[in-house]
Amino acid sequence: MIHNLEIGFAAAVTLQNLGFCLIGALLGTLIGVLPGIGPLATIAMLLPITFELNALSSLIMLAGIYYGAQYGGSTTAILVNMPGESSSVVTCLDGYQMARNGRAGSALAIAAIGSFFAGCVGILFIAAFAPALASVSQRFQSPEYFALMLFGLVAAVVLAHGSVTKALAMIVLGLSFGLVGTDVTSGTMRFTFGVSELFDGIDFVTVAMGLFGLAEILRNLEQKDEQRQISTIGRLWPSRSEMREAWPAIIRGTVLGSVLGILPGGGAILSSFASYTLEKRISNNPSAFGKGAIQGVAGPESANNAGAQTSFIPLLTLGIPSNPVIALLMGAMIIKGIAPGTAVMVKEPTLFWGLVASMWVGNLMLIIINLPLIGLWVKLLRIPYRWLFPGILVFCCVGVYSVANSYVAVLLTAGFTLLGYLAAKLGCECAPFLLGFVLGPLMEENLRRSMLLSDGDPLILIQRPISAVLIAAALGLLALTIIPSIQKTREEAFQE
Amino acid sequence: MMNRRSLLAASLLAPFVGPAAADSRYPSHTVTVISPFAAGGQSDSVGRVVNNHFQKVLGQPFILENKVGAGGTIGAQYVVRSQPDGYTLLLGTTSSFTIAPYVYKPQPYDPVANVAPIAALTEAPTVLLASERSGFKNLNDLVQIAKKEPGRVTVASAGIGSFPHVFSEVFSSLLGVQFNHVPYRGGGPAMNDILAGQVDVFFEVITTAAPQIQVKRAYGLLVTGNGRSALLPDVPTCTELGYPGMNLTSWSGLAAAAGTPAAIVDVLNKEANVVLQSHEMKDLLTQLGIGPVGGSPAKMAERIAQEASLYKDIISKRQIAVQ
Repeated sequence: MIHNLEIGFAAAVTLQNLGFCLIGALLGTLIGVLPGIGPLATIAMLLPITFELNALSSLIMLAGIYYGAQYGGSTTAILVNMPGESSSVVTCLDGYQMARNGRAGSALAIAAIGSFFAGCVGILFIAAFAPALASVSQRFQSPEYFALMLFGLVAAVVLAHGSVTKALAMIVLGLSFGLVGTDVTSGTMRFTFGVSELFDGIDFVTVAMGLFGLAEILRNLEQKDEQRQISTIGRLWPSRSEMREAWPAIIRGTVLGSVLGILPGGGAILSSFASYTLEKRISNNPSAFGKGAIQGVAGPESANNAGAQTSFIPLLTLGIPSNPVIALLMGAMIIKGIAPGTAVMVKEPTLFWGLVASMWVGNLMLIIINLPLIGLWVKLLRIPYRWLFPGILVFCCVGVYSVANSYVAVLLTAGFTLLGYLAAKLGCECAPFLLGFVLGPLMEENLRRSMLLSDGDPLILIQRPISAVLIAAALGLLALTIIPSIQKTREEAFQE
Repeated sequence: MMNRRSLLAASLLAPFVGPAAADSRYPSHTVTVISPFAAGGQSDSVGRVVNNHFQKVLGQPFILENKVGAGGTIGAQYVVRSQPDGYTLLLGTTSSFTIAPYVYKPQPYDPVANVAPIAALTEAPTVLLASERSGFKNLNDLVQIAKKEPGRVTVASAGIGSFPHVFSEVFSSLLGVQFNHVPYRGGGPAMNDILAGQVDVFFEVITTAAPQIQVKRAYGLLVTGNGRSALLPDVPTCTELGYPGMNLTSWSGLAAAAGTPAAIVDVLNKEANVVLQSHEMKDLLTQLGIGPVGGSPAKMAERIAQEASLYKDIISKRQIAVQ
């Protein structure tokens, strides 16, 4: 492995490749910060440029955009409650609250540090264990995915700080919105009302922008000017105690993210949600979550960056893209005549190890770029809100439109803004909604596929060990969450 | 004030003056080529080479825009409904021209009546891929088991009404076997499950299938096309195996809305044929393992009509619908 890493670094540290890495990382950070415009659109736009470059340089640049966007996405999540990337949604929960309490600098710094640590570890994983990890990921088939999604949905209840009933209601509502579109298994269109833009379902960005970012603007506009401005901008760097609290969360998040990121499909978003759930569960002070707990930022941020690195593994080892962005990178490789798959490690070691090494270089560049910028970002918060929010609004609309060149999406975002505002007024939270929206359809798809493959036999879910364990865990978690509230109601009833 | 206002009004109205003057020289401004599938796909890279050539020779920007959704019908519909003036073109595939319009209900457009073909560009052989776990090393193995136990063999597809799905229906009707169809969201997840062994077979385009067969992670049972593929010299063609009726490829072509002036169609057709012979295109196609088609608009129309009637028949017989 050391020899391989030597080859890799030798290839990655040439002036040309360093330059492309820098461009990719900068671009990635920039589009991660701009809400809505994501790495998918950017990589698609830059694909033609890579036709002129050699394979390694183009992959380095495109990969840089991808994980750079993860860094940038957390910035808007923390500053203005706008998730730049789907996996940054969880960072909004506590990160934004930290910013409102004047601790934006700490939040941004911890996010960057956690992401860097996770990136390094993720890359080590790839270097040391890629083929082994790939074969593990192959054990995850439809029944296991179903069980994992089920577990995720139950865990979503934990995300809620208030009433369990309201959280369940939001999950179900999210599930229902997730049903919109064409059903994979039967070809039936559901809830599309003949609108062709809805045939493929509602895009995640549309929902997230409306529910989180724009609804927050509405709520902020309700308050008077003085209440809105953040009282003091605190320190730009986390305090010792904050670092001490954050480190264990970073490590846990990294492990979780590295493992879940390998799973093609729902892995990336699950890793940040799972990390948040874990932190809240094992924390000494769970009620602090949702009000600015630093573990709620450190854990998920590390998880999503670790996941971003390890999501390359299925591509580089099996030739399977884990998500649409990696599919684009795969397209770029194919055009260069490199067939992604098991052969790549053996036939093109310079490419494989060069890419791995440059991912580390890119992470290093990103943290060097991002840490000093924290001061700049925090100054943005000082801008009077009446100038800030129209800017955010414009960027949001452009971002939502740019996903599919569809104005219907922008109208939908407006609808979701209203929904988010109403939800806030009714004391319901949006994170469970989002999780239901993402996991529900995946869960259904995997369940029905499992049934198709087992000829309708539901026992397949319990016969396979991994899926049986996950389902048992889900039921256990559900019981743990519901029983205390049942006991409380009983006590209240008895008292009367 | 008056001057500024009239200037503003004039600039707002200027675009509407366009069409009347456009006939004089085509193209006189930017042409948009719509790709109805996600960026980074095969047809995209071919499309970009074609666009670059058009831009060089015809002197106006040719921009590739991705309008994804609904199996390619959103992008195709957009072109079909646009002005037939040659400034909105479609970079379509087999699915756009012969399958999707018959699968999606209500019919989004008629590929024979509403589309003006310009030139067929490339065609890709389809490979019948079998997972390692299935144990099917050649076509015979598959047919034997499938006939003995109907519904036991599972076939993956990229979704209801996708090319792999419809092709598998053609296959099953020609061979008289019954499959258990398992749809996925696109080719990627389907390929993943083939490699994991969760599904038995998959009809995939050669570019993504060949690497897996070459490293022995899956078996290739047959290829379509007019001869064995250079990427997979050991895999027999469907014609060799005795099923010439299955010789259907996945092809791409340029088209516009019906009613586009013949002069414009001819110019684009001529240049498309030129670029297909270029070095750059030949290199790209060899890498992707696909072949050029070319030919006249009439030939493309003939191909559309032929394949559309074949696919339409199987789609209605097997009741494949997205509604």
